[in-house]
Formats: sequence, structure tokens, C-alpha cells
Amino acid sequence: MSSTAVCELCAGPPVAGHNFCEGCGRDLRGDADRWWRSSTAGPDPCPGCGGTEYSPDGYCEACGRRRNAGQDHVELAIGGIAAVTDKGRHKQRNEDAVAIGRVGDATIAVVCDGVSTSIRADEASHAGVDAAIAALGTALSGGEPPAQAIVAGTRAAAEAVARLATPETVASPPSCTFVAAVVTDSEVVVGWVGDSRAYWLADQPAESRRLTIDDSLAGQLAAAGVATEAGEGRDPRLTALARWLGADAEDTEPRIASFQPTGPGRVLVCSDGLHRYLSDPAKLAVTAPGAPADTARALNQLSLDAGGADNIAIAILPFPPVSPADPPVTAEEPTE
Amino acid sequence: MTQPSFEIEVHHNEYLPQGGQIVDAIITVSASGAGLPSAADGAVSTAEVIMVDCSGSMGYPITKLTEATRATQTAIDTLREGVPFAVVAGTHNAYLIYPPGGQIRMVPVNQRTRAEAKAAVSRLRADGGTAMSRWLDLANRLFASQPADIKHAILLTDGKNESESPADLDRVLGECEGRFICDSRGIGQGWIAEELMKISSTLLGAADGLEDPAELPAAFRAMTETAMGKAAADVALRIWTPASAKIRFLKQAFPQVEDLTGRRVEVSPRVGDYPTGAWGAESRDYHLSVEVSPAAIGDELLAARVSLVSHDQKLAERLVLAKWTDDVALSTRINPQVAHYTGQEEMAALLRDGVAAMQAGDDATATAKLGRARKIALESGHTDTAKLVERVAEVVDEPTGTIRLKKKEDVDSGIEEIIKVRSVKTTRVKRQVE
Repeated sequence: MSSTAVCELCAGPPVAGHNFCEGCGRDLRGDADRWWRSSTAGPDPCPGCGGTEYSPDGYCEACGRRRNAGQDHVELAIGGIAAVTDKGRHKQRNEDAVAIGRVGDATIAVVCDGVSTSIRADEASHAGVDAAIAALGTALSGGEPPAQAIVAGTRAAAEAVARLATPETVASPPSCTFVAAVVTDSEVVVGWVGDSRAYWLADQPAESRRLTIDDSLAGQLAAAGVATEAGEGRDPRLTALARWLGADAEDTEPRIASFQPTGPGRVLVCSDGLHRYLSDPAKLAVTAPGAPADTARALNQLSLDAGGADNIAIAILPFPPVSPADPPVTAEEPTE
Repeated sequence: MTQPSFEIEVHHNEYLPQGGQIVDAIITVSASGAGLPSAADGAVSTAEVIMVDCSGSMGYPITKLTEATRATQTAIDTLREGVPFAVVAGTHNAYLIYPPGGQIRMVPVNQRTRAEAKAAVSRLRADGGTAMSRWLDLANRLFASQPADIKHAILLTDGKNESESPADLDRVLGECEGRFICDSRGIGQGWIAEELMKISSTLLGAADGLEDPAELPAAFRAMTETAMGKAAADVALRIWTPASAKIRFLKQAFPQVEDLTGRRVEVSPRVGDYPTGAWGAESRDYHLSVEVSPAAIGDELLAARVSLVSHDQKLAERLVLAKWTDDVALSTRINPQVAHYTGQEEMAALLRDGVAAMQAGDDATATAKLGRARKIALESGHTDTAKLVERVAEVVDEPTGTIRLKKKEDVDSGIEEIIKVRSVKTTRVKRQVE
């Protein structure tokens, strides 16, 4: 399907018959009537041979090269919220994924971080965000409260990720972390499995705080007020993931947290590609003020400048949700 | 026809170093016993032809003919009720000794035909030469009238195919290929391993030699029972490889080495089928070696997609992946299965070449090759093969594996052919605790 949509990100001119923005390369197909965006790659030509046919398991039918589920750098914007994901400086592919969307007045963001020791982790994270945001948005537009919608989204992601397990991946099936946030005009609700995080970045920086507790020993200890040694020398068992999504995962129900902000601010949803370098809520809040897209870009650049050791995924959701330039759409077809 | 359930396992080190191009994998294919519809249930139909050498030499000593007669009768007893069958006596010509009447036909097994066939077999006489292409051609014509899923033949000989040219045998083998399966057995001292191996290799069966004619009835029973237990016919390994890749070789590696590389039937530019014949409840290993174009560190390639097909129906599928890494600890890992079968393939070649050198009078080459073969055999737990080598050579120094060839008069005649025909038999690697 060709598109004549103008790219929201770079405002590049549409080229009839092209599926990707000539300016920034993003997928323009179906954007006009879709209420969410994700960093999942479109069916790009194979980087190995230019072929366009892929087997269902993601290998180029001509040269056999595995396609990446994600892309090296993606910037997304919809309904007044923005997201950036980046491969970083040292990883061979981007195993972080992010999806953002807007249903009615509620804004949604989902970040999944592929577990690097699992096989085809990029497939896990991208399948995770896509399944989660679709299910979450559908639940919200069906009238479910945010917390239930997040549970529905997490379960959809857990199933989608578990389905990726194949005989070839039995040693360590595709796995990822999960964090989702729903922002309405009265509350912020987050749900997570693993160590990807959500932060409240208040316009009054001192009121900023972390909304999630890492599913790791260090995370649990910190939540209980026990400080653990940070940095390079820390015992790896402390930060080992206790929960994740994947065929070999046991507990995939999300932990849920919610609160009613007393003033304006932004919700940051991110992977450890950012919070490994900057994790203090107040510092995060003052580091990158501005429009959501600017904040997301700035925090991404900060992570890259600090070393870019891991993939990065960042989503910024203003509170209260701002009225975007384009009218909000529902999960159903627009009425107009 | 109901298919048994097949399973494919892939054993390999998927990590390649920078610039690495060779992907070696052992593909284990198993047809599961649980719920396997066996031929005994009538799920698949079978037809059987037994070819018995009746050349003049079968009468010297007479035990060869009497045991061959008993073996054929045992095989007839082992055939399942209703299975069409025929018995061919082979000399420089071929005679259909059962069913009688001079027509090219087969009859189903029942009480009466069993008795008649056994009686006909008991009247076999040894007289004449050896022209195996005539025997195979008659078997081929007999099978041609049969709609059976699995057409299985047994060929027994005690001699060299001397009443015709090798080209005659090649031509008829070409005609028979894909039409029926043939197991072959040699007895006595006059048969040639290469001839039987060529027949069984082309016709997807197994060749072997028996030292003592008294072993024949049991061998015939085993072959017939195996044939009756086959539940899937015309199974092929279908291999997809990327556009720029090349299949260096595909060999069956267990239970015996069989090079299938040249047997490829092109399905499409990147897909080829390799025939594997009929399957019962059994497991076989294949060694696939693919040369791929190198990619960047971190890239992942589907080096081969291996599936099992029968009449274009896919029975199982697995992927052979390759990943390029700069982690030397990963890329230098040697897969124990690949290492084991690489050794078994080397052992088979050493045994074959060693015996050939021995027969050509090149004792130095024979000693070196057979000594090395024996060492690999011992290291891989293949004691039967080590013992066979010890039939033609004495161990001079066990730690170094040095051997010395025995004097000609101390070597049992015919043992060289047994070593050659069994050189391709392999053992399986002992399961690693992972």
C-alpha cells in the first residue's frame, strides 16, 4: 500500500508509491488511521542482499540473513507524546523496543528490553510492545480502567513473546522485560515485569520519583531501604533479572503502581540503556526540559555520550495529556 | 498412507569466527516408535523379492547352498501374511523360481504359497556363472507390477559379478534406482565388497558380509523383519540453502557412512531433495557441511533449512543457523557430534584404502592406514572394527597404536572384503551430559 502521508517526525514530503519517509526512513504505511506507533521494523529490504521475502521465522528467503526486528534509531511521535530508541554504541542490534499511542484522552507507552542472554531477544521485545499496546489500547477504549488494561496488555505481550520459542531457541528462548504506562487527566498507572522503569518527572523537580521497583535482588533491597553497592564491582547476582517475559518465564503478571499527580509533569518510561547512566529522578527531571520529542532525544543523547553501552528506549508522556495538534483518535476507526 | 512422526535435531557450533565460511552440522532424524503405524498394521503395503545366488561356486562347500536355502525359507516365514513376494535364482541369468508358471508376477503370502515357495527353494541347485544385473532386472520387472509403498529386495551372493561387464550392472542399477530398496549380503570368499556396496548404496539398502554361512538364516530374518517394520516410504531430506551458499557435502553418518551429495534432486534453485528411502522406528544421523559467504560480526544467517518430506508433504523441519562472533571462546568450540562423525568418516576411508593397499601389496601404506583406523575405532568405542583390523594385523605397541600386518597365510580369506563392507558402519557418540 502506498501512502501520501506527511512524515510527522521530519515533515518530509511524501513521495507517491513509497512506503518509507524519504527524509528519515520511517514507515508511513497505515499511519493515517493507526492510533499507535512502534519501533518495530517494517519489511525493509534485506540488508544482506536487498531481497524482500522473509520466511515466517524472519530469515531472508534469498540469502538467509536474519532480519532485525528493530531498527538502529527510531523516533516516534503521536498524540502529544514522543519516543526514541537507539542501538547504542556497542550492541550489534537494537533489542530495545518502544510503542506509544493515544486512546481518547489517555496516552500509553510500552518499553520492552530484550534479555541479552536470550536468543533472538530483538524479536521478543518488538513482539512484546506491539502485542501489549494493541491489547492495552483495546481494553482502554472498551472502558477498562488503566490498571486492568495494563494487565491485559502484559498478558498479550507475555503470550506473544512465549510464542516465539522454537526448537532452535530451547537453550534460552526469546525474552524481554516489560514496562507500560497509562497517563490520563487524573492519574498515572504503570505496570512492569523486569528492570525497565517508569519515572515521574515533576515540573517541581524535587517531587520527582521512580514509579517502578526493579524485579531484581538489588531492586527489592533498594525498595526496602537497603543500599547496595553500585557500579562495576557490584555482585552480578544483585542485578540479575528475577522476572521477565518469555517461554521460560514463570511469573509474568505485572506489578502495578498508580498515583494522582498534584501538579504537571512528565512520565518517563525507559530501559536500562538510560537509567544505568542517570537514575536519579530529580536529575532526570532537570536534565531535559522542553517538548516531549526534545526530551526524548536529549536523554538518548545523554546515554550515548555517557558510553552507549546498551540499547536505549525512552518514551515521554506529559501530564496531564496535552491536546495534540492532530485530534485524538480512538482505537476504533475515526468517526470523521 | 499414515506417516510416523519424525523429529529432527541439529547439533553444531553455530558460532563462526570473523570471515568463517564453513558450517558443519549433524542432523539427527528420528522416526518415533510411539504411535508409529507399522507395516504390521497394514498402514503401509510392502512387497518382497529374494534373490539367491545359485552360481556353481555356491555348491563348494555345499553348506553355502544349504544355508542359503534355509535362510530364504526363514525369510519367507518372516514375511507378513498378504505381502506379495517372489524368489529369484541368480546365475549368469535369472530365473523366477517362485511363483511358478513362467509369468512375471508376484503372489501374496498365505499358508499355501509359503509352503510352495519353501518347497521350490529346497530344489535349488548350484550351476552357472554370476550376472547380477540380470537378477536385479528381473526383480525390477517383478516390482513394476506392484503398487506397494515399500518394495524391498534381498540379494545374496558368494561371488564376483564376473559373467558381465561392470557397465551392465551400472546400467541396470540406474534403471532400478528409486524403484526398490535392496539389502545385499556376501558369503564365502569370492564376493567383492565394492560390488555389493554399490548395489546397496544406489538402492538405499545396506551391504554386509557373513563369514559363516550358518549366520545366514538369522541375517535374512533380520532383514525381512526390518523391511516389514518400515512405515514410511520415499522419505527425502529437503535442504534449503541461501543463494550464495554451497553444499560441500551431505552424508549419512549413522548407522553407516553414505555420501548423498551427488543424489540431490533439484526442487528449486535453492532447494534440493536427497533420498533416504524407507523408515521404520529408527534414528539416523546426517552430516551436512555448507559453505556460506561470510558476514559481519553479529550477523545471523540461516545456513540451511532442513526438512523431511514424503511425497511433498513436510514431516519435520529444523534450522541450521550461523552467527559470526569475535568471541574466540565461542567460535572455537568443537561440537562433539561433528567431531565424532568427522572421525568416523576418516576411519571409513582409512579402512577402505588400507585394505586396498594391503591387497595391492603396498604393506607400508596398509600398515599406516589400518593402524590409524584402529586407533580411531578404539577412541570412538568401535571395538568391532578394532577387532576386524586385528584379524589382519598384530598390535606391536598398544600405546602408540603401532601394528604389523600378519603374514598372508595367517589371514582368514575373505576377511578383507568383510573389513571393506563394514568400514562404513559407524557408532554413535555417547550422549554428553549437558
